[in-house]
Amino acid sequence: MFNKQITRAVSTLFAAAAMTAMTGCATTAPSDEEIAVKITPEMAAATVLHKGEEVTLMRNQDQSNEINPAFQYTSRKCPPFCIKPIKLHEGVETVAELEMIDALERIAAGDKTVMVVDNRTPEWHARGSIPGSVNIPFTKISRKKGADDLTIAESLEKFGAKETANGWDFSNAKTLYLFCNGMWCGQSPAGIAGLLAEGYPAGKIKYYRGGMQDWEVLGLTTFKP
Amino acid sequence: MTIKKIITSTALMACLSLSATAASAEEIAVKITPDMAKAEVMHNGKEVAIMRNQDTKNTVNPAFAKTSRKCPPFCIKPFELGNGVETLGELEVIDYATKMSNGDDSIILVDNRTPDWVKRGTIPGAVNIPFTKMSRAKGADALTIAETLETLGAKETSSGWDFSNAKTAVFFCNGMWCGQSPAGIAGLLAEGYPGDKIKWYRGGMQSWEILGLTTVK
Repeated sequence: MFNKQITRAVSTLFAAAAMTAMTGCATTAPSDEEIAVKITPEMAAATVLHKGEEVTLMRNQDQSNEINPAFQYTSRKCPPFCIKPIKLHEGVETVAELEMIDALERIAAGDKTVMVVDNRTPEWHARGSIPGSVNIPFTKISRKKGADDLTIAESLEKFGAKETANGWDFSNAKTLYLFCNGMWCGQSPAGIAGLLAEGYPAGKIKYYRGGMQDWEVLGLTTFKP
Repeated sequence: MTIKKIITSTALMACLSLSATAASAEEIAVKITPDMAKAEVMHNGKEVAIMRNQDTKNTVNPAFAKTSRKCPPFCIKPFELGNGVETLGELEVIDYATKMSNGDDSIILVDNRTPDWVKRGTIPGAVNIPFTKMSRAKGADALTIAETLETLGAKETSSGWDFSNAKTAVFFCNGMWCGQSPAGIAGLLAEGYPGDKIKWYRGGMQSWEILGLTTVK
């Protein structure tokens, strides 16, 4: 079922990219024919919204390009940089790049029920992130990691939850796609644990485990704030 | 719970000091998880310790540093392949490899790449069955398919293949940009192999290498 959804989304993306190319709105994106390093066979690029501006999301086209040096290291100390399991919690779905791009495209198309969240601390976010993501550090969604009542409330409100007399109402809470530096990063797992502790529905939490590590190794577009 | 088992077995092995080459847990600064410094598995009848490269300045194997191989054919795969095939990460692969090495022969870890790729390094415990031997669409004939299915524990009967004792098979290739194991898995599914006995390590050699995990040649 999910595959079908992706296929549909992918063809939408493709149509959108083609249309953008035809109308000449995208000045930076080369035409599909010039793109040798596509995302999938059917998707050369995706148009996403970053802070209200259209950004073309694609892969680095230099076939001799090597990974961003910040992500070339194999052996950061563990702890703290330990390998995470494929599944964090029952009900929290793990996703990868195509599912992230699908979410970003839905946001660009006006879907307010979805949000892509860079869960890293601001100094990491500043070195480059996924276009269309918003930076809400894990420290602001986890009491265990130091968030106080007010900070938690601010974060939950950004996610569309509503405070009521009997606690938080998550019925209009957004579906969150959270990520950090990748499979060796504990920031988004800590953030997700924090959200679950507040009662955020697991079904509205997605974990992009590959994070910036996989995004960078695939040469996907990043932006610097 | 599965991780606890690995820890227990790792601890046990450490007590028995079976491994002469692996550093003690205290010396290991780059562990796999906080509770697992290494995992002992069998590769071609020999014990191999899976651990991470301990040089904190080490950078990824240059063969896996490239960002921009042409797509097609090297396109990004979805998180899940469908048909009930579960996607695994490193900890789950290590767990299966450990169980297999401890004598559980209902499990098999399969490097789905062509032999020239495997020669450059693979995951300890893996056997090589190229995707071309699992998929009619990729050229496998009836005899080759039969050989592969037998290796995986299926039995040919007068009424077709019996998969009741077929192994839980963990497949991988070069990673999220590699189509070899997805093609192999599609081939197996087409033969009727149960989806819930097929596991896919999507990260493959790309993620294994970027995490500095042990490879064998």
